[in-house]
Amino acid sequence: MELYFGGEARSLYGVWHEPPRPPAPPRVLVLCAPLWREGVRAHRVLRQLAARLAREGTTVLRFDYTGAGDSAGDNEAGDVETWLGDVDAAVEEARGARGAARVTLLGLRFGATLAALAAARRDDVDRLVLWEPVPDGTSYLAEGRAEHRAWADLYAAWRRLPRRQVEDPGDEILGYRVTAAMRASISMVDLATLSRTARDVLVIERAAPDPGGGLPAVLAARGARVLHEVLAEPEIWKPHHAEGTAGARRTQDLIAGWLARSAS
Amino acid sequence: MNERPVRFGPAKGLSGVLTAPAGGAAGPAVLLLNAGLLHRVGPNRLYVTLARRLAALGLPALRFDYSGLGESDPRRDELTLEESMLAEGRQAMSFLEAEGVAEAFVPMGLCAGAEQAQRLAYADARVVGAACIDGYAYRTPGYYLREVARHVLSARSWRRLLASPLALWKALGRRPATGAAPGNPGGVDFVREFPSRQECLEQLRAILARGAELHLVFTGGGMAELYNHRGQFAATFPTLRGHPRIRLDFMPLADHTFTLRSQQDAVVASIEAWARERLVGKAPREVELPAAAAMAAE
Repeated sequence: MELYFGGEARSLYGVWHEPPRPPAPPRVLVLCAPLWREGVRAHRVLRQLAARLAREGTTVLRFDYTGAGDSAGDNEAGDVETWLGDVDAAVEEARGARGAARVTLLGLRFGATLAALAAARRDDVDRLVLWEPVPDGTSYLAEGRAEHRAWADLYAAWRRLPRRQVEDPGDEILGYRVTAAMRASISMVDLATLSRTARDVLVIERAAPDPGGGLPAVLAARGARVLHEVLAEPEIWKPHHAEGTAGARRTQDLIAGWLARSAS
Repeated sequence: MNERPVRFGPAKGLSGVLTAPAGGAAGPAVLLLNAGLLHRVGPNRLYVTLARRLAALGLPALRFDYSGLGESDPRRDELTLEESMLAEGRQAMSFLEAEGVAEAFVPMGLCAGAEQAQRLAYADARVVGAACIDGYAYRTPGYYLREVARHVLSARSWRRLLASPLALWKALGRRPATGAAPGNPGGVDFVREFPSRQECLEQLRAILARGAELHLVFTGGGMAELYNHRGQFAATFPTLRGHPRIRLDFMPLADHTFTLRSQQDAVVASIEAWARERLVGKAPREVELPAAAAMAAE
């Protein structure tokens, strides 16, 4: 079921995925998508994952951030604070509509980062699933720019265009303009400085953490029970022809299994 | 914002978002048709931007997902993709008609969406206009000449020729680039099946004969294998040259998904200008649109 929610301040597009027989008390999960082109690419797999989790007993709310998908705002609306406010609004909507005392947040890429940041400032997020989180905003923006420049180089060469003809003002990442507000707020993000986190956290990453233990160690030091899985599956947020369309089945199995086991 | 989620079609399996003009409808309703496998927001939210800009001109806009894509349910019957997309385009129009939103329609889209816009315009008399971005195109002798000239004039080709005299021979004999090219999201195995040139011409003639408006946009990057000059459409269909109800834009720098913001702005401006000039006020049976007006007042 689709809806717009967010009260006076926001108009966010959301989709509910309902279990055939909701358990009591209800288990509610809010799904945080990646930003920009990664979000568009991941849309189908995240929808499939939400439908599967619902079949297995979890009520899922998917939603679009301000300035993304079908929500209000043009592509240049929003920054980290706006998107965190959107996550808050989605959690409130999910709790209010389904009468849940607590929720699980599941995020992919920068959506996982937003989920971790939101959990740090709320008391009602008891479980977190962080799928390939972005730990450091500055590197994330630099990688995005590098990806954009690589695209422009390849495109200009293929079309035999002078490179300057496909130059952008220096602030675009594959179809999206990163505004000054977005840049400033994303650059400030560093998950190593999280002050607190949820009770249970599942972290799924393609690469093993650095010798210091990376994000899982940070989360464990904040008192979370952390399960860290290294799983090199297709990067569903990248162009689909790069790695096929398998849809990261093992990752989806892992998430579903962990949610069933850690349900209290 | 005057947007609301809608469900329509058999078993309400099709999902869309309807953008209503704030001051009531002033023309036909726009249907935005999926760009390939991308869900209804389109590449870089192109369809969201278009829906809102066109609604600001007074045209209600529905962006929806064909069955199995985006937020819509998969079908359980055995219709072919061609059949189901045509049927679902018609269901979208019937839904808007039943809701009192509009009685005349303008389908538009990119790539597969452009093909469907033309098919719908040909098949259904309720269509009063269509905008096709990287739709059907056919190579002409001029296309091949320009391709050869592009190789000859390219510094890269000369560098390769100097490095190895065989390289140019190989380059000229090579088949046109495949879908694996950058900016073409189709991937290597993606093949678009076009009607024959004659069939396409007959469709366009029939659409125009009904008084419908056509806006055709071709990108240099998306159509590099098929279309490389503004005048190629007229060369392909000489009998349509200079037709008063065809507008054409060639965007040589743009890639198929409008990755550059400057190109996104340009394609939106192109469609907006066409809509303002040719669509606003065009609904053949202009009526009060109570549902749209009520939505706008919400």
